[in-house]
Amino acid sequence: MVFSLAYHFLRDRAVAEELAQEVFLELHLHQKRIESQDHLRYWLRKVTSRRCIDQTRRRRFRQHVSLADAPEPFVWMPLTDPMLKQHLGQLVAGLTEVPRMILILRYQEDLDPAEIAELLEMPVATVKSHLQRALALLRRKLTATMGGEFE
Amino acid sequence: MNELEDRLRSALAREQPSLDFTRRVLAQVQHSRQDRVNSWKPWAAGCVAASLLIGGFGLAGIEQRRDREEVQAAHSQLVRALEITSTKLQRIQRKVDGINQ
Repeated sequence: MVFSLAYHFLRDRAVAEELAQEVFLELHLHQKRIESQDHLRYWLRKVTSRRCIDQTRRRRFRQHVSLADAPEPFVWMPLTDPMLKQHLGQLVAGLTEVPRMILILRYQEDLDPAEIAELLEMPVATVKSHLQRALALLRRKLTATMGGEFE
Repeated sequence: MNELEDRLRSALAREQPSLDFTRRVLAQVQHSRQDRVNSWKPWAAGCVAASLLIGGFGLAGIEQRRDREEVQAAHSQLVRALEITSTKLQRIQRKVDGINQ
């Protein structure tokens, strides 16, 4: 869970592993505060999300092109399933930090907006709005890429 | 659930870290534990040193107080002895004065 969150967010295995190691080290130092399995899961998601967002903001180690500004593919071509998966991952990686993390928590961890709002310490309405806007943007980009319509 | 959400779930499915990830995490945890023990050592040595210093000063203080008391007692004894001697000398002086008269 920890590595996967970091990996989908950072799109770099080495950096994601490094970040996941730091999270587990922090867990080791704070293990006495963990009260249950649920609390552990919550704690890991929260710390990983926070670290991913902080790291990206602090280092700007990857130069992201805003998804809205990203050029459309030069040639239209039908995408096979693995290619589509990879393309979708790249589109998610092009989102800004907060909507990106919200999408990952929603579709990797299967959390509902209320749970995401609690983790990221923001109002539920903000989470829903980020989610809707990010989905709309992805839908538009995918439709443009694949030529079809994504519902 | 719509197609885009299905695709997202598939694209964002959980990924596994490399095979030696767990070993590296455990090694790092072990290393950090060792670091904490090592960082405790100078602190403990400092405490021990401070305790020893305080103890040393305490012993020195007790020693000094004991010396002071002994000096005080010796001084008192000397004064008492001088008083006695002085009384005796006065008595002798009076006798000598009586004989001379």
